[in-house]
Amino acid sequence: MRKLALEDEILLQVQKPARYLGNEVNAVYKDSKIPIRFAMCFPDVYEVGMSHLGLQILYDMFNRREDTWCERVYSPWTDLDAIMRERGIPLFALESQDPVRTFDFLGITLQFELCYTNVLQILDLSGIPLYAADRDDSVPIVIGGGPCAYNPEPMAPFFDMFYIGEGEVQYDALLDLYKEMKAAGKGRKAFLEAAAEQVPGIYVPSLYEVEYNGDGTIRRFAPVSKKVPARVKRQVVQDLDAAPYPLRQLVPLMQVTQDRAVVEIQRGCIRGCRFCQAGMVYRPNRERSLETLERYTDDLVQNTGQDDINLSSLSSSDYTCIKELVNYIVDNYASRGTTLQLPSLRIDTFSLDVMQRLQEAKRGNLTFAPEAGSQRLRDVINKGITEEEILEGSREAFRGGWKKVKLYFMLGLPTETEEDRREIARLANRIAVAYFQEVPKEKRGGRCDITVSTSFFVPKPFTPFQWAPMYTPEEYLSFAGNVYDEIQNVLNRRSIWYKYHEADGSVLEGFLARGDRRCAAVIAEAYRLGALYDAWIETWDFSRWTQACRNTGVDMDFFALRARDESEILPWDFIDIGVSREFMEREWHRAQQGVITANCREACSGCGAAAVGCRIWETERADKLSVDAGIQETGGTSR
Amino acid sequence: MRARVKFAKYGAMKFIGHLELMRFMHGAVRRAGLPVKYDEGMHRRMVMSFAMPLGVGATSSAEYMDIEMEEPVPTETAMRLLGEQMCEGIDILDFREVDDSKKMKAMTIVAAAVYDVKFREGYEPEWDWREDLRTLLSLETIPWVKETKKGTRELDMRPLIYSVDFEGVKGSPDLTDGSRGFRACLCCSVGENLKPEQLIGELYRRRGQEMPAFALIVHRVDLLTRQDEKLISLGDLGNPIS
Repeated sequence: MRKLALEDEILLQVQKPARYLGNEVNAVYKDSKIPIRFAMCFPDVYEVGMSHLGLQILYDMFNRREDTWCERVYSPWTDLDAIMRERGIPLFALESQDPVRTFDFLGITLQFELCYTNVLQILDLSGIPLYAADRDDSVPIVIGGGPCAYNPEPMAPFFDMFYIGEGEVQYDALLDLYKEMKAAGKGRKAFLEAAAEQVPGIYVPSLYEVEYNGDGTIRRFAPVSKKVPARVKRQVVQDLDAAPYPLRQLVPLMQVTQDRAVVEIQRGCIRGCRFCQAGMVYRPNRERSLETLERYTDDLVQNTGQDDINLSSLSSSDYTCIKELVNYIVDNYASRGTTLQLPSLRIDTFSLDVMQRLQEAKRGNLTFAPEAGSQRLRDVINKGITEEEILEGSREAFRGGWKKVKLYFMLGLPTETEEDRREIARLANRIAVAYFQEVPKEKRGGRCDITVSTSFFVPKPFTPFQWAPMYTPEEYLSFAGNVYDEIQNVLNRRSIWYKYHEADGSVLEGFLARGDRRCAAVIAEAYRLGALYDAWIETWDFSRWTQACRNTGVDMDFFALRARDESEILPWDFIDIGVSREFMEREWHRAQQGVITANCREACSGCGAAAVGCRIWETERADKLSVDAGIQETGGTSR
Repeated sequence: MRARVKFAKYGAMKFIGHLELMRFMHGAVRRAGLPVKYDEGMHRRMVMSFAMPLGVGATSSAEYMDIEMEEPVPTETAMRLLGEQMCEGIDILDFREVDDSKKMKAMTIVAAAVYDVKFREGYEPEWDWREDLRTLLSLETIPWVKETKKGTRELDMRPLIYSVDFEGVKGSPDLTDGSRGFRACLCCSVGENLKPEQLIGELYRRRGQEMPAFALIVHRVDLLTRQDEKLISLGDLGNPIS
């Protein structure tokens, strides 16, 4: 029987011991005497980490290799964290329950900026020196990945290397190289150099140096040797149908955040929302075929026993065969109680019908994300949804018996004025009016329920808004105040609920998102001062970060609030995501003029993703090709 | 038809709570492809029920769950299909057809549980717990304030204790000589339920002490039902399916 790393008394006194057991359905066990042992970490609590598809893809892919055993690691919650520190218990991987320190690799995915202190916790509890420079051959190679790795610089000193792009492409080459060099007795330093030189997409921070201007901006960012590429290319899967996909997904023993079998229907998004990092860094849009997805669904239902299927993508409605796929699942699985989740679905007759058939008809929330209150500002952010579409979707939903509508907006967007913010309240009011017009009095049973939820916009690297300013927490709260005030002014104020987030967390997120290497000292200091689980209300304390900035002499506002000039070298400019900087600049200018850009299927806007395999205009749409204003500027990625 | 599945729970799975275990079993039955019945609600659920939840941390060699089946599956086949879907720490021990009337559900008819109870190393009280327990058992009534989710209730504990065996238990690795613990048969039903922790907790209470957390290691040996005034194992009801 497998021996657990924690004694019974510890497991009985911590919350949710199932977090630390492993033993899930479809977990993989191998002989510990295997050439490569890989600890794959999601630096948040188990329930969050287990809900993430990307890690399951890599877990499955690595474990297909006969020479590799990939295991999982999640952040111990604060209760276990305290016990482990007090008793000196090293952090362990779930499957073997062996200490992480004994592994060949520790891979850490960076899904959101507020997990950065958790990364230090993982290293610390594992007994691995926090700074890569302090590590010797006795500890694992620490490799980072995920969306935040597109600006790895604030975390650069803590990682030996980053993998830039989609893991399916180059991990086999990296692991082969490691095995070969390990067998030849080569050490850590030699491997890092060889990986940076030979494996595309590998970024080794210690092999690059940065010089700064007097004003604090970057003067020069370059590799220390000619053999190391000056620009690191994002790795992109060309044929999703041929890429490995996990069909024996882990089934957790406890309730997790997203407790379902996940079918990834497509990657990338055709809509060019200018605030959205995912929409840019996962270009080009690539679909899996209907045939493949039907087979995946069958296998996943069989192998997981899950009764809830998530059709994962950035925009479900844009998947070409969405109706066929949904009908296939309904016809084959609804009779045994299977339900379906379709994130980012446009609200129309089809989606309402699907919800009625599959989601227990319990009439939950309908969600719209207009992101901005006025049409002018929606054009600035290129959010291709019109007020009439929102109102028509709502009317249809109200006719179908729904009463609750949720609306998501961002505050602090580029060019935003007080008038734009007040328009949020007015839009909510018009939806309430639609309810009273659409539903006859005798069928109403009370008011409708409209929740307006705002978050503060955080500019992200590799978006057209990467140059945009942010605001102080006080300013953000005054923005929320505008919305609140206007809600008090509208007719249907009693049907409208308003929720907004704390502002200082967004400022920290902005600091970490657009920071450079000098921010690492702040992260380490904040961690030393006790910062951990910064995305959790229970543990969030901004004062640790302001204190950390004071202690290290780093100006948070310089990184978080400052508007960037287009001539400035940005910390992430050395990464080539396949979408060109020219396209970003062009989009930034069009945004300021309030000019929208068509989605990828309407017209190609020449973003440069053709260089990483975009085939949207090569295949069935080739005949419709029309040259858009910007298309002659393609190919900006090859410099 | 109703099938009753008998299974053991141990190892890492002892930390899995009752709701989690139910989810696990639902998934396992689906993966095994057994022809089970779904209810007629909007969200169709498998018709499955458990005899009696087992506390987190306790192990068991005889848990029972009832599943309503569309059609019978031979015992051997069903045990193999289900067994293949288990994680380490759950073993399928039996699968048989039982009376499918409403009043004969395992959760309805369960009457008693047999536990092997011992003190965790380092947690044995400094006083002679055997002597205290014997004294307790010799009482005619044991007034007891039971704490429940809804508040407290005053009860007599004595009639809920069916038997206690100090003399060692054959085949029980820890209790063979009776030196570290005891075997107890306690009332365990929908109406009334006495847990080993409550029985031993009463000894501490009578000494003006509180039982330390995790002091006991509890293993459920079997669940019993009453038939002709006698207690028999739930596993003895019904018949294997051929």
